[in-house]
Amino acid sequence: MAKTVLITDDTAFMRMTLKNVMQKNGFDVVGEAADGEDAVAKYAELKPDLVTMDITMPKMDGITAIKEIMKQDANAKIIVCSAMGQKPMVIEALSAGAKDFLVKPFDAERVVEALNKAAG
Amino acid sequence: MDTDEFREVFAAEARDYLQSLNEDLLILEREPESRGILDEMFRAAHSLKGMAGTMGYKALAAFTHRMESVLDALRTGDLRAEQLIVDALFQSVDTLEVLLENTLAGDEAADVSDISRRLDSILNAELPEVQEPLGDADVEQSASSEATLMDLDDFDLETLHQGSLEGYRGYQVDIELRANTLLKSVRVFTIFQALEGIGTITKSVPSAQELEEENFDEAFSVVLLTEETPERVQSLVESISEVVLVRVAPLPTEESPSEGLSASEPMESQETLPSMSPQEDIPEAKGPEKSVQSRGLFADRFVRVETDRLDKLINLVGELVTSRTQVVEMGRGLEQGDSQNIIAQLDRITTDLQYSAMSLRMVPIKQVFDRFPRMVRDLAQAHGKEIHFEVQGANTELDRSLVNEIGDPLVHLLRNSVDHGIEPSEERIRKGKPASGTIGLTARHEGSHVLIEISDDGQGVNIEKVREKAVKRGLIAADTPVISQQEAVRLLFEPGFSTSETVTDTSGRGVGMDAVKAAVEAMSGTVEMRSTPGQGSSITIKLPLTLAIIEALLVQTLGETYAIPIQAVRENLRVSRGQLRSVQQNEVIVLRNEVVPIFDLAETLGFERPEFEGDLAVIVVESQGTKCGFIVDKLLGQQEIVIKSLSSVLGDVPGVAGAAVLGNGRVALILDNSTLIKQGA
Repeated sequence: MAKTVLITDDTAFMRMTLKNVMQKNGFDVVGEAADGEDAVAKYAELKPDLVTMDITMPKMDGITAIKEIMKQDANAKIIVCSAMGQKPMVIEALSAGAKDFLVKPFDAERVVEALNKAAG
Repeated sequence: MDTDEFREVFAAEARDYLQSLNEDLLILEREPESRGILDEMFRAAHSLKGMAGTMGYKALAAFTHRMESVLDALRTGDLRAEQLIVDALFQSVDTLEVLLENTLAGDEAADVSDISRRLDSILNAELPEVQEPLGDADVEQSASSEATLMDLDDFDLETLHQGSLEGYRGYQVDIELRANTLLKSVRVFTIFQALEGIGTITKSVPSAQELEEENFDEAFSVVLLTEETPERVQSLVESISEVVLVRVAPLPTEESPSEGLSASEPMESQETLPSMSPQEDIPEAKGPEKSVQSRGLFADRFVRVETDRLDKLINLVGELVTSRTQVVEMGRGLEQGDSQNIIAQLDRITTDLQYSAMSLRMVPIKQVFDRFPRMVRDLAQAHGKEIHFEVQGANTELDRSLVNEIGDPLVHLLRNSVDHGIEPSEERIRKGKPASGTIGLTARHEGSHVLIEISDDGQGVNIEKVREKAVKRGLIAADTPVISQQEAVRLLFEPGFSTSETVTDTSGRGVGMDAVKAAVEAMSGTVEMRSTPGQGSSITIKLPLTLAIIEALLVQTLGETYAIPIQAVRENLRVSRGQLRSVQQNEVIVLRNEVVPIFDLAETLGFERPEFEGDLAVIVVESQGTKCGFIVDKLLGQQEIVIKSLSSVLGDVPGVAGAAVLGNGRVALILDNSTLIKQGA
């Protein structure tokens, strides 16, 4: 069965790009969230296998959202998405429980590798 | 990526790499077979290329790539490090230096076609298949090599042994990341995080700091102590993104130091630099950086701090010291008791703090000395002389500002030694000396001073030549038949004096020992020269440890307090008006058969000349061999002062070197003797 994914990013363009890559590679994108709060709520509702999480977002940032989701589900598989130069944030996200990280601009191959490896 | 932010770090690191390439080349020239050196040079060139590529400096990356290709051919044994190739590499490093500085200055247009062709022809002649598309710095050669166990020192082996007693097994885990992995250091972090989840990482190569700074290619190795099976370790690391290769090899658990040490060849070859004396300490200083012990990824013994912040701290400590002096002065008026004790304690702590803060300004003189072996080699080659260059005490520390200033005078003195000091081999053999001359460069601490000595076993100062030249220049009377050795040395330091008969590329024209002397005196230091005809010369430069705090003589005139750096003060005198004579409209006094011009301090500084009653207080100062006396109102005494520069609003005020806040809270201007003497004279 295809793995289900929740995409979190505040820009529609990035969500679209990621969705496109994931669908082409056999993942089932079950939801999209535009900020951290949205992501936390949708995670509870959709219980996806995987989550991609942008760091810089309005309302609730990605790191806080990761912490919130990990509280809900200690086995959540979250991949943090960052830009170059966000090293400290990525490390914080990984320490908070993110399984892997992706660096923008995204490379399809890397996105798929990260999703596959995180899904186990 | 905002590359501006990284430019400075890049510049500093790139210069470090060039320096180490230079040092390694000197070793390579003597040990062409040294694989360890070639590996190190290859790594340096490779890192430099990667850094330049990341910064978008295409020309720099492309040229470094060429050099890297030659180094790779050398280390894999496809090429041999013959003199021709070594020379080309030396030239390449020089070219890189130019290219780097041009690039940093925003101009990539340095012409590298000549040396590029040379490197290409080296590659083409020996190894056509190594050639790669030019200008493409992103082309990576596979850096993966067969599994080799890393160097383990006694400490590592002891750790493994201890671990085995507690039921842990030690493994070396070699990991290779995909080429062009982004945020490599964070990837390393995820790997460390995963491994720390099942065991303990006791060491990494490169060091944790280098990994964190992304100062590695794609591969790194760690030593892991764990109860898990090697298969489990393998699959755990393989489950991490962007890991393309994992190798897990068991490590010995027995204490067998010899086994571990045998693998450390690259380091050893570096420590036996034949041209240097055994006490030489550059390699020793270099060694420890390479094997920094790591416990956890982002822990290290060093922090990088911006120099501005450091200066601010030191400045604040300076102010604190001044306040302390005020409090201590106030305390003198108090009765013995609690407040006295508290003041004594404050005094002690502040003094300790002051010394700690000052030590932050200290850097090893190695920074300057490092470039000299290469320079002396090149000069010796250019002059067809054989010279053995010995450096000692490169770890001697002195004030950062002095380290920056001392370079040029030393370059000049070393050039003099090569050019005028050491004789050509044939001449040396004729004189019964070893064919190869020796130049020594030594630094050491002596009290609150640093002594730097440059010595050579060359021909020494030619007294007769000096006399002839001095006569020609009108420095001494034409009928002076003989001059003493001392007199000859003194004349050498006279402005405009140069003993070289021919103007050479090396020592040039016009810049003589007087320039060296002026530069050293500007650093509140002194220069002394000793010379024995036929046996050589030695020049000793004596510098204060720091320029931030000096001993000064405080004087007063027109109600203002001025500070005169104590090392310039020769004596202070009471002069009756009758002793003042007038020579060519200048006032002078005769002091022990020496005529010393006298000026009024206030007048020299541009004020109206004050009227003093009775005898005059005169401070005799000396700079660059010139003595002169300044009339002041009164002497206030000697004090340690913290130098502050005048604000940029004031700019450079002639005759004033800076300002200091005194114990009583008042500001005193610090006088710059050499300018004052020039102004007066």
